[in-house]
Amino acid sequence: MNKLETSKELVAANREQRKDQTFPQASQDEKDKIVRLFHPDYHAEGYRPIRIGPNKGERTVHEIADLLESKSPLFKEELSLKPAHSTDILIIGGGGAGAAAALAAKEAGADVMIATKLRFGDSNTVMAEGGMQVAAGKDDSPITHFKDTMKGGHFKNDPLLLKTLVEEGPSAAQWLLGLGISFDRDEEGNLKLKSGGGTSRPRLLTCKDYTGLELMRTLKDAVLNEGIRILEFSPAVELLSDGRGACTGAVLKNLDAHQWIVVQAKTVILATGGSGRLHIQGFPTSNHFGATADGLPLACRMGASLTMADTFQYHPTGVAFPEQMAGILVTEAIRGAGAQLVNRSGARFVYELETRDFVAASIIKECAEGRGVETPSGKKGVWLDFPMVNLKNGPDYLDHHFPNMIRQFSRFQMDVRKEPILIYPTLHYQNGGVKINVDGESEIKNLFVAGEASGGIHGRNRLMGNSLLDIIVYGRRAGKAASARAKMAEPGNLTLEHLDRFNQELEKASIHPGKTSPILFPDYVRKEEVTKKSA
Amino acid sequence: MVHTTIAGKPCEVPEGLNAIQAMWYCGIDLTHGIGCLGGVCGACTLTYQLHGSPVKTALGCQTQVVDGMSFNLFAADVKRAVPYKTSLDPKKAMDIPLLKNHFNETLSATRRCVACGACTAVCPQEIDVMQGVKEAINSDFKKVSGLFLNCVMCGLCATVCEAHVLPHLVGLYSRKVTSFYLTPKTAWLEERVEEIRSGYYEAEMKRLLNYSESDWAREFAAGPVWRSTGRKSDQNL
Ligand SMILES: Cc1cc2nc3c(=O)[nH]c(=O)nc-3n(C[C@H](O)[C@H](O)[C@H](O)COP(=O)(O)OP(=O)(O)OC[C@H]3O[C@@H](n4cnc5c(N)ncnc54)[C@H](O)[C@@H]3O)c2cc1C
Repeated sequence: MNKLETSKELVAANREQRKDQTFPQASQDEKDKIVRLFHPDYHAEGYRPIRIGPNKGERTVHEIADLLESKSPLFKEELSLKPAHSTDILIIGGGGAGAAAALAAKEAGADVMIATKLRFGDSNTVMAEGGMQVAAGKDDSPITHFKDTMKGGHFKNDPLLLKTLVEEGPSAAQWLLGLGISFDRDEEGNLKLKSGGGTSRPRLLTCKDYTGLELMRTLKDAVLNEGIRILEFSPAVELLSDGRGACTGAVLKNLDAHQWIVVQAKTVILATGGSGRLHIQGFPTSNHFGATADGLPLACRMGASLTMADTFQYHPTGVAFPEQMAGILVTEAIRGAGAQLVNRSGARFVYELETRDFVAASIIKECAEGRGVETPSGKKGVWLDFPMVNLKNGPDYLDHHFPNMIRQFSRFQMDVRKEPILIYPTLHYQNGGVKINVDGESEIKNLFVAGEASGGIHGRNRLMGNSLLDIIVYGRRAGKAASARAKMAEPGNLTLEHLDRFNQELEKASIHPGKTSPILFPDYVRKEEVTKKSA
Repeated sequence: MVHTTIAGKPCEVPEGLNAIQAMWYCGIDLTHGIGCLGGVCGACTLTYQLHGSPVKTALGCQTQVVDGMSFNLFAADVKRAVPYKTSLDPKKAMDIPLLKNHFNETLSATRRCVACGACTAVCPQEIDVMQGVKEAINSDFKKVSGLFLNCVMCGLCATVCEAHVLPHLVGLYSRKVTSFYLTPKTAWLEERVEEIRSGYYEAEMKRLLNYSESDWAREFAAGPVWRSTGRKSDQNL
């Protein structure tokens, strides 16, 4: 029997014993210490200062800094800026934030167009499992939600952005119910609420472990019903400016025809999502194929600054084995339901519902100090003891509450009702992003940003479930504000003047990038003689 | 290594890859037929065969490539306009008889189902699609709603239906009306919305907005305050 199987047996053998065992929460000092030592956000070699642009001098990870210091793909193009499309509002990105913005803008009477990289709805949003935080419970309130989130974010959250987030939570949930979303409900019709890491009350609205799928199909259907124009396979590669600092549209790339598409818009909403596919510091990721942080270089080249673009969420429980699923997320809700984390000898080492940064750091520590389990290809991980959930809650609990997890693992011949799963932290969420105000506007006039591409709301560590709320609240706010702005504005001039300024800055800093950004897709295609990169 | 055939081209790939990873391994660049890579977006539908057995369908990112497997990406692009407007009207109370009419008007082809079972056979999510269509014809929308929980809207079912039924939309329709018309109201949620609208939490929120980092540290060290909801019934206020 190999090491993996031997360890798995140890976990099964002491499961009954661990069932009622309590594990102490760590003190704040202890947490700080372990996070500093083991969380990738504190791994100095992973970082460098940004050399140009609005965030010059600030540190971020190499992968993001490289994007910010790369040239526009249009840098040597002779491009006519005659628009192929003209619209009030151009929404870049067809995930949850983009869809919510589109609906709000349309409702406010604007002419809206969505441009997205893959198909409409192929996004991080559709993948969300665990739920959406809304202070909807009898003993809950926006105040408690505010405090929990502040604590989770290490008190670095923009308090005004956060205030609006939590206060508009319940009405955002109502809005979604009005679109026909199916959240889990009890007999009386009230929302069933679940706990998550860092929430002092059960506060997660869920649709089993398919919350994002339910959210995205509901939003998508609403957008299609509104007849909103959608350009698929048309990612934005550059923004356009009027030459006086305001945003007036974007240049898209038609991926099929390899042609540029110029879109003129009175206002632009960037909703391009996160950056997991950059594989920051070599981590696997839970994100969809198009999560390459495109919004960040686009916004920065226009002159909009980023905030907290040095902090990322490494979700504690990404799949480490089987490798076909490497990086795929196992929802935190499973720990909320009682699944424990145990090392190679079947011992617990962290209270499972601490905030994500601490749990992730603790897992990395466990593996770094030799108490992890090795996979056949030499990767490391610890066990997430799924069967404990049924042991604690009854034999059908996993089937009823986590059908998605059961199905996904069964496809690779694993039965999570019977066996634990090997996990390791996975690059999951971009905590920071483009700086916005409560209307979702960036520092650049008429350039709005919503969702994971924006920063500030979640501070330096997002709590589970707050992102789905963020994309609805701020997606809608951006849509509404952009629409009001568009009503007062005339279509602007279309120029690439900001690129002249940007290129001069590159010159001055003696940076000669070989690459262009945004990169649009990760490159996993094996070239001859090149070994396979982990996906 | 395992032997496989991708879109008619024989290839050798390492053991333990899914179909998408195998395509990358074989030098194939993908922008279509790829999406979330986590089994929920429905972009990577494919057809496959094992040693000449009957053709099956699955999601590429969820399909382990094994020896003797041949496969083709088969994106079922069913981005036809949604043929109905589910304008959910909160002022209307719709019961089953009313919904039955509404359903028949909006997804009228459904009744033409000939129960051939092709939709169920082709579903990569193992949904009993045909059963769902039948239940919808019988107006048991609640049941349909449950059956289609994990529908990724890939549209394979609609692609193979000779009667032009749109089963994935039948599922979506049922989910919407079940939640909207056939489930009691969310009373607590409405209470919260009202409270917030009335400015109930304004004062406490204002106080918190002025907090410095050290104020926060103090607040959390104090314990009970941390649990307070800001409601007057809480003693800490
Ligand atoms: C596996 C997983 C599970 C999660 N679970 C939860 C959870 O339980 N609760 C929670 O609150 N949050 C969760 N999150 C986080 C949350 O889902 C995301 O942060 C959120 O959905 C982001 O929404 P968005 O609209 O900003 O971005 P996305 O949904 O990613 O949408 C961005 C869209 O923009 C497109 N795009 C990218 N670049 C360009 C470009 N250059 N031009 C045009 N289009 C572009 C993308 O392809 C995509 O369609 C989870 C995330 C993942 C990955």
